[in-house]
Amino acid sequence: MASPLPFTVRYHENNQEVQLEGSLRTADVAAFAPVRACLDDAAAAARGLLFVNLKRLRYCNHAAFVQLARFVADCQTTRPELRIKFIVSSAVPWAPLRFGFLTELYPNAIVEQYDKAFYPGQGVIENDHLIPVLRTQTNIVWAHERELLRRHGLRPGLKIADICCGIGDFAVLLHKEFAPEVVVAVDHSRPFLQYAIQVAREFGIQGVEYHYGDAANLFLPDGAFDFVTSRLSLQVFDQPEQILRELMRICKPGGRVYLTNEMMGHNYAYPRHESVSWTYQQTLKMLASLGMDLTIGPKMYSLLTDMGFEDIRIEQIGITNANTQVEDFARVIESWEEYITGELSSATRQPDEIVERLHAGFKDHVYAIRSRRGFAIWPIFVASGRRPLRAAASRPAGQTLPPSPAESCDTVLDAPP
Amino acid sequence: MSHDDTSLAPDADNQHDRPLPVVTATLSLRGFIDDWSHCQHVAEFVARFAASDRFDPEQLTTRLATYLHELLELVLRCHNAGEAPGGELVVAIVRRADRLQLAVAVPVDAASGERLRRSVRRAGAGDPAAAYHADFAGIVAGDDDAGAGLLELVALHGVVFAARDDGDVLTLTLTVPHE
Amino acid sequence: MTACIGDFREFTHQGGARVTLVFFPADFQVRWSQCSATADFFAEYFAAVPACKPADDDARAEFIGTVSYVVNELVENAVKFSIGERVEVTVGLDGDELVAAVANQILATTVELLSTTFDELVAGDPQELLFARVEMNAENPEAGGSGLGFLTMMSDYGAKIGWRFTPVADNPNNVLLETMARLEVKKP
Repeated sequence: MASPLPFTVRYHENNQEVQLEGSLRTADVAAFAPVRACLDDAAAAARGLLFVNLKRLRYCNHAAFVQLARFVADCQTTRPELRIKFIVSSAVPWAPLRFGFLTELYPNAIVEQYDKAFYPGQGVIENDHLIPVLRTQTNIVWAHERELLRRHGLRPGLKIADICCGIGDFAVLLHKEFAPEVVVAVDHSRPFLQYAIQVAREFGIQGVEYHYGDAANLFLPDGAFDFVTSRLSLQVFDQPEQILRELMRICKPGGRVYLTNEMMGHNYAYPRHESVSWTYQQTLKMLASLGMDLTIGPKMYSLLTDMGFEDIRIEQIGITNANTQVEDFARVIESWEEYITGELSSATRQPDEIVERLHAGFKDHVYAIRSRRGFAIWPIFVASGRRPLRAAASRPAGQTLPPSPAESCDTVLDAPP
Repeated sequence: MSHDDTSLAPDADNQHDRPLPVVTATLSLRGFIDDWSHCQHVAEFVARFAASDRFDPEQLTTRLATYLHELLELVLRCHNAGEAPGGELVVAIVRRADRLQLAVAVPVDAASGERLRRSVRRAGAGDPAAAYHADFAGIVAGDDDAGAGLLELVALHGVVFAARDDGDVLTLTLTVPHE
Repeated sequence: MTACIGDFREFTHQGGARVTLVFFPADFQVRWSQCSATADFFAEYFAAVPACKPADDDARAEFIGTVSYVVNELVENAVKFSIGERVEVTVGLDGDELVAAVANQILATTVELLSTTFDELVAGDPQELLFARVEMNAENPEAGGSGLGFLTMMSDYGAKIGWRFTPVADNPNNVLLETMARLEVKKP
């Protein structure tokens, strides 16, 4: 009996997309045959553009790559009007190199490194100007969050994944406070990861692994983690359910996924509340134009329910100038001001008068925080859910996990035994 | 064995670039070539082990396993099942200050030696990128692809390749930057 | 002076499949996850060797589970207690048996206690000894699980275990401890 083959190939007719996943290391043409058959069927059915999605193909040997090239070369002859677009990820280092090379030789081949711009806000999020913002935020939120994490199921000795870990400070705090078996922290920003690694080195932290990766296509095994966190992150993606699906996948059945997200519209400060409210409403519009939704906080309950989680818990942390060091809170707002009136305003092309008004609003917010008769609150919504022990454990009969776009396929060809 | 905390930055300990052994795998050659999946098992285990102390082990694992698999595949293809010489295949990973060296020492006989040497000569071409570019269309069309995987590693992936020929043992070495 | 306890025999080395890994913990730390990864590697590798290849999915799962457990126990012990520069792990076919062996240096001062422990482990019925040890640990959790891994290998997985102590020529403070587990290979 042969050991199970390590790759799958599927054709999604509606998307005109062939999806290859796993490890494709074929010994010969015969071993590649199921892949070639699927590609040929897809090429026969597709019009205009055929996508070949390699985001989850971790390994491909040269022999298989040559066979893929042969397919492209043959299509040049048999379907000259068809273009073939290979979708690759920088999380798989060999892929952009190989398929970039292919496009030099075959004019009908295109390569797209999808994670160069795979969510609209990526350019403003994944750069080092955001580091001071993230640092100060973690400092003031942790004091409130550390106890709350226990209520959401965190305890010592767990395997934890922190997805969209940013600068990695939360992973370090988790490591110190909860003595996990291991923490795997993943982010797609190289500046953030470099910072995270530097901090871990300086603090002599062992037991935290930092991975460069794509939160929508994680190279982490199914059901590997007892506790999966993703903080202040779903709010920056235009398709948060894609991320949530991955968080569920890597969570052990019976384990919990823990999320935090904001409801920026509820940021409030008195006095000067009108100016402050306008500032955050304007910021929300700017962020929305980049596909971000910083009102997603309370919507997490629906998201978790729709995804099939059980035992959903949701609550709010209210960061105020009464329960937080005033200067720390003020520093957070000042760091927001710098980022929003700088990077974000530039990215969304705000006119000068808007930027000036934003400056004034943030200063009013800081005034309220520092004022002995002022009050300011920054609400953060916290939600967690348990991955069911069985697939349809808590849903009405006939209802299954919401399918990913990749699962709505018409033809599935697994490599035959 | 205990490292002090600077083991998180292992290179800081290796300022003089001395070779530090990471792991060695010695495999009976006849047993190795018995099954195609052995290439994958060895490549992934050794790569994952060598990457285990990096802050981003997954990226380095993917790169190392990709490169090592091509080397091991070459060894397997150059030896026919049932006809391989006896002896042992030795895979050794050594760390230097900013790079890893993957060395595979292969026992050869006349037939396997000839096939392996031909592949090695191809990968050692004067301008590997130009050679790969020139050969690729032919390889796709079915020309001799012996050693093409190794040539690709040098041409496209920036891997440094070296070979040592001791007559009945050939040692192939790849040098790979950590990041 | 070399001393053997239990079922320790040299590999007869009939040319069957064999893999040796050498770790160098003084230069490259062996992390906790690498012990189980090592065990899984050997299990998967030998599941593909023709002489061992299981006949169906259930047999494959049993083979991999057994080999993983046994190798993991041996490797974890060797890595935890090793004081020398290298730890060797060998798995190979020896006739009708799959043999897993680890070799690591230990302090010479620990040999007497270890010898006594190993003698006890092979003195009686492994299953009875296992129950007795489990009960003892339940009554006294501080006592630790001395020998439980070996007893489980012998009782649940049918492994034959042996040990050999060999003085280290250039270091009288150290002794080379080799630990071996033999498993019967079901014909495919």
